[in-house]
Amino acid sequence: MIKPIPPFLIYLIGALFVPLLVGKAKKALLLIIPILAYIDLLLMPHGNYWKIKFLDYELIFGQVDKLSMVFAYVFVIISFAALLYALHVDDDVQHFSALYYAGSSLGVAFAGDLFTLYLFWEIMAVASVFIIWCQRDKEAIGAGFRYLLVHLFGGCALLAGIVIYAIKTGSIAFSGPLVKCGLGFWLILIGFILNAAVPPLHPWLPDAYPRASVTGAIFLTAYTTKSAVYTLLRAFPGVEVLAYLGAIMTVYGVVWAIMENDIRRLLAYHIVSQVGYMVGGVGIGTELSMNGSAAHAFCHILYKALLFMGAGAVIYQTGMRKMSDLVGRDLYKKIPLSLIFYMVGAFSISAVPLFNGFICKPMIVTAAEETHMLAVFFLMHTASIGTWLCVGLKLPYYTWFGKRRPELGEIEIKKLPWNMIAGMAFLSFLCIFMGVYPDILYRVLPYPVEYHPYTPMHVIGALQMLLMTVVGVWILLKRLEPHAVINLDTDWFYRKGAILFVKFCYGLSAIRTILQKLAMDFVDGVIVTSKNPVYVIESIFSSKPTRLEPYDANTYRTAVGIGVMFSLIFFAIVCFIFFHHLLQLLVK
Amino acid sequence: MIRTLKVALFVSIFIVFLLGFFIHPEHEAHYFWQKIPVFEGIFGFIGCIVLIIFSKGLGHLFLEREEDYYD
Repeated sequence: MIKPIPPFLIYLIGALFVPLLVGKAKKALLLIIPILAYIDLLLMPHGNYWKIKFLDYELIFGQVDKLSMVFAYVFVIISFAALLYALHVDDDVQHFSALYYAGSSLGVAFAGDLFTLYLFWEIMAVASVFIIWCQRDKEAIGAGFRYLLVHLFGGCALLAGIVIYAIKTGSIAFSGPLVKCGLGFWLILIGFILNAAVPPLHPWLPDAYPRASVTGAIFLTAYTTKSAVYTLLRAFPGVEVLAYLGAIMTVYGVVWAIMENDIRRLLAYHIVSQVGYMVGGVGIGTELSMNGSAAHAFCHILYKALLFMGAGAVIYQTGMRKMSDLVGRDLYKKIPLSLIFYMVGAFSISAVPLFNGFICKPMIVTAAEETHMLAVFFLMHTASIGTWLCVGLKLPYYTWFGKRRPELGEIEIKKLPWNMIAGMAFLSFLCIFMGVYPDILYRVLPYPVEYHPYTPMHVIGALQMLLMTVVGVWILLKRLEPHAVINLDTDWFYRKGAILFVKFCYGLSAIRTILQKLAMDFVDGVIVTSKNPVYVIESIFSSKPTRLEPYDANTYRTAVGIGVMFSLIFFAIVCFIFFHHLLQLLVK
Repeated sequence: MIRTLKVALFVSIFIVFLLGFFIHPEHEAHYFWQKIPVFEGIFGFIGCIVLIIFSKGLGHLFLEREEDYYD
């Protein structure tokens, strides 16, 4: 029997070989790493192992149960698909960061205590920011810095929470729901929901993800938010505030997506929306909703990566990323492949029957209905409409179709590399396969599943909703038209706030300069006064300022010398008289 | 082309609405809307209209800025 090794080690050590290899060997390595990791996962038994003593605590690197396995499987699968899609890219930094990103997210999935979790959490933040920077333009670097600052804030909240929690409860175990112990509990929750992009802590996501490279963005869509969903599922099930936050999130993402013009930014807002279902599922806290959250995370990673791949392929081939530029160029004739794969992803995210969104999203919505959380239910249901109308109708219409604009010149279309097509085909297959055969997913979910997606009621209901949304969009198509503008979001507070803060600092600095100048003037005055008091008096009373002569020892030598001589003579006479009288007194 | 699409759309809507009258929930309906055969369709249509008008209105009124706003 082969003994499994920690799967994150395969990634973290494998990444070290990336810069050493070239050509085909490097490409082979990139694909072999996730395959090895997948085999490793199959060998891992349930239980707690790979323990290390650290101070008075025990760090657990292998907490393996059904919940961690669901996430580990999909993390490994998506790393394979994303590496395949990025295979043609000759950028060691990106490959290296991507492997570290994937590896550390596996570390999060198997972390059995809060310290280990924190360790991998921070590696993820650093690795992901390097993926953003790999685009190497001004926008990406700026967005990367903002992303890093926000995540460092989240990391600090998490660490502070962990320390307070450990002191209060004396335990750092991360095996089940955390004990409600006041501040520590809530700080850890803030650390987690920041990574899950819960509004108003979400703008780092639509800010940074669309600015990453075409291939790098695929990794970003998968790990940060979904590992946060995993930690929420493990530590905060049934925390009711999450149900409402999640429900608001679903609609929030959709509303901003409807306004959006940049295709990948639109999809990024839909990550916010989709993660809202998962966060909501955690908050509802029934077995059905928790299963739904895990299943939705699994499916979402697959179809969202596929959507980003399709949109990325458009950007790769045309060099354009805004719908206001892409519309009316008849791209459906020129780049049909990206359209086909994109639509598989779009049908999946919109929960069209036979695609994988249909087998997971309704689990959460149904759970909300069954637990009588009607506000949550209706918000989520409305967001489903918005998902279909944005991702399934608006984006493809204004990207590949749209009213023809013959005045625009022909654009150069780059050829799509085989590996990008293979990556998209692989994920499309998985999306459809899981949609047709849901048991393959239901078997690995954390709780036993008694949910049947393909009842006539569900299917007909879903079809009614989807088709009537098409009618609605058709009527309001003019209103949906994207324009070349951007829309404000809560990042306004720190992007504009930072400018205000810098101005405030300049103000403080100016006050310091004034005070310093006053002090220096005073010191100068004292120096001048002590050098030559006559000059100071002169300069006060005479209208013509006299120049302060440089010190010359000879100027006053005679005058001072005569003065000293007279005083010596004077003192000599005084001494003479004094001693004369003293002698006379003694003689008597 | 557009005509064919329109016809196809309306025929399929007619079919799914009709089917809505023939299927029943597997278990007792908890809420009144579960008894309305075309509820999902109507909800989808109204939701779609409301979402588009609300979002675009929000954008036009408050949130839209020039693309170089942050530069």
